[in-house]
Amino acid sequence: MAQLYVYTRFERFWHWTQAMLVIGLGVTGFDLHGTIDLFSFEQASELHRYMLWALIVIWIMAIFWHFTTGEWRHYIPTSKNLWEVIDYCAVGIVMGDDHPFIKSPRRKLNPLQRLVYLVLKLMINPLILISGLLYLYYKDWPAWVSQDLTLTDVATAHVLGAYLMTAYLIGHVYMATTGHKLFSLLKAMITGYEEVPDRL
Amino acid sequence: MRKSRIACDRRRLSPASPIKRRRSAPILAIGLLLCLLGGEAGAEATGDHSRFTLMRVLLWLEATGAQVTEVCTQCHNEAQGQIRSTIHWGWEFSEPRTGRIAGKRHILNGFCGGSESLTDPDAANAAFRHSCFACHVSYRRGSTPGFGSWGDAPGPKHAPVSWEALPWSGTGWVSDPWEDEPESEPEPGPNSPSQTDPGNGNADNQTTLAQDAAIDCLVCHDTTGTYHRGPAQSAPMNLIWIAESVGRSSRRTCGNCHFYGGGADGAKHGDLDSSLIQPPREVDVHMSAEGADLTCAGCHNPEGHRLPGSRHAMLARDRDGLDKPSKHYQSHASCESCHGVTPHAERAAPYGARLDAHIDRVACQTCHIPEFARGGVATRLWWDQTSTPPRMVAARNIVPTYRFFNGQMHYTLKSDTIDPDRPVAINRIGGSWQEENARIWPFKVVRARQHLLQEAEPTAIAAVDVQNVPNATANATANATATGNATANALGTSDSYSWMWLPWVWLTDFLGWAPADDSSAQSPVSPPQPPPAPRRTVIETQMFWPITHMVAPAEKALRCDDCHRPNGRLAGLPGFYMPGRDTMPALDRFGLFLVLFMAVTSGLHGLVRILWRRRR
Repeated sequence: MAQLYVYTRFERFWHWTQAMLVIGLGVTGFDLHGTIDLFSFEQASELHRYMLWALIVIWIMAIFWHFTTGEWRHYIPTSKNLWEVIDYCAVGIVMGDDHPFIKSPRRKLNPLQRLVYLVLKLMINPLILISGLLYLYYKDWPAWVSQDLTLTDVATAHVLGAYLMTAYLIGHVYMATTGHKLFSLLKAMITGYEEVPDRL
Repeated sequence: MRKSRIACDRRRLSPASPIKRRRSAPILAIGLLLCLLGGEAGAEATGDHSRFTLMRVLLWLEATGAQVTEVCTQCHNEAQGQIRSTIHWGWEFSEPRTGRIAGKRHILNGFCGGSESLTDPDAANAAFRHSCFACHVSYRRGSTPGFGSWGDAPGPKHAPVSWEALPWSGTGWVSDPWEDEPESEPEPGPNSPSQTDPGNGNADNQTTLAQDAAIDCLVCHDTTGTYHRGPAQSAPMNLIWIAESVGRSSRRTCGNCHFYGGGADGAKHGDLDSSLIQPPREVDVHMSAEGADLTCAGCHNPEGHRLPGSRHAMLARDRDGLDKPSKHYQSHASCESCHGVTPHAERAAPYGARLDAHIDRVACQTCHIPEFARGGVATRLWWDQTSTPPRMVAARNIVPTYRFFNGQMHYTLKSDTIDPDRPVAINRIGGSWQEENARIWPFKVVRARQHLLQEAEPTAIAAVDVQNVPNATANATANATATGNATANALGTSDSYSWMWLPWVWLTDFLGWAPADDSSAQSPVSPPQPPPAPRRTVIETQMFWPITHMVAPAEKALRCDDCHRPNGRLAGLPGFYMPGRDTMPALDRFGLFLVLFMAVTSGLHGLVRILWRRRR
């Protein structure tokens, strides 16, 4: 096993800040929606709004980072070895097979991760963000928006996004336990160093 | 001292005060202090009524209510015409948007009667004072020179107002003060209020002169707190002192009628009762001495005796905001006219802005009057007038009913056709959530079971389809008969109903107001023939009263959770999506499925991993 520096300092900062904000937004959001009751509506809406702006800041930084460092290339989808990875996740991981994908700083994401994160970043995140901003600025909609949209549409889209994000989050957390050991992937996301097989 | 008190009142109501209210508070305090010390420094009035020699002489000669009015109008010679043009005189209101003539004279009433005076003869005086009969701003006209039975008063100095000095005698509107209104009165249209031009050329008309003298100035302008319109046997008054002390209206003078509507303190409105004469800040920040200490006229700022802000046609959404010296200046009868259209801007961003974002859909009153009847006086919610004794339900601290309201009340008129088998809507609220000018308003809903006296012979009175009044146009009254007939057929009855309320008859019987009374003999108008024996029907009525007084301190206003929760206060308002209140059942089911699917799949996958590893 070799120690490989996979996640840079900013990447880890971005990941964990975003994780906290997404969870916080989810909790306050579902509180506002009436699914859970932890806060008063007032507290929940205020927290939700503050966390929204923090998330937007971190996203802007992350987008800047992706493009200036070229990290965005990790998300270029590929069908090569995609089936092997899916097969591994479904069967091989249980049978104790080796992971068909070998991580390297140049290829951090396996084909399945690429696909999932691309969907997350290009579909779910924008869905939540755009519908959320429309929701927040409902009173200031220009006529061309209010012509085609109602608050119900926007709220529906936002809540749908929230459910998708929650489902993603559960899957993401579970997948984090599928490393060599239960917490090895988690540890990598904290320290930045991941143990990879020597066969590289 | 008297004079100072009047001056104080005026200072408080200075027209500039609404805008600079906060800054003027210390000045008011100083003024008040000077007044209390009896100094002249606070005096701003240009006239001292107690030093008007002619007035004193005339009143010493004959101190009757009508004589007071004669003296008042010697100088205030436009006042009579102004009064006669107001709703306080005519009890008549032209709905600006429909052109229909409504007002107390024409609408149905779930309170009329004053049954307390029937069940408790000892309380007759008080009940009478507080009943609607005492509240027309007139003396009885027709007899000279005293305009009524003032001559029977014990002495010129202490002339009590006789209840006979009221416009009614006998059953019904025998000496109706409006009956002889000139025929030339313009027909009210949608854009022209029914008011006649004050001081128009009808002054030569004998009727008009008689009506002028019949106006009761003191009921509104008494500052001594001793003037009353109760029966002659009740407390005597010093009319001269009262006349010398006249000043601006106060919470007490307005409240003498408006607090006691429906026959008891607070019975009718719910947000108007005697607790507002000296309210604590918690009850009403505007009228409390610890708050703005406003009188009624502070907001219902009269111009030429005309008071803005009638509930018959309200401004449900004021987009103009702060009053600036303009043609709108006279009307402070909206929250926005003093507080502007961004009233929460002082609150920390973004919270204040979020609250301000509500005011296009939510009336200020909705959040800032969390409950009505908070002053310790119960208001009536249910009144079964058909049982003996009448059964009532009254309560305090009531959570209002909320509806979208565009300011237009649709009153069912006495001339309308109704279906006595169903609950009758005395009024219905105009507006829906789709309307830009409609906002969520708080209401008191009062229900009653009462008698409907159905005339034996159907008359050809105009009838309007109760269900379609919102669609009524300016021509509604003209087209009404045809519509009404169609409706009557649809309802399976061709009768028309005339509205006479049994308690009214009881009360007039009790008080001995028989048409044969000598008071009717004095009347120049001959009493109408007694109608054929009416058929009694028991009906249920329902009425909405907009709630707009008893504004609580800001810290007592509603919080988000009061409405933005599934069982919140607005749970009953359908049609629109409201965050926190409304769920999305289909989406929520799908979302829950998705999340559970993900969790279960992950869990199973992990379980298989663990089990398999162990087996190996």
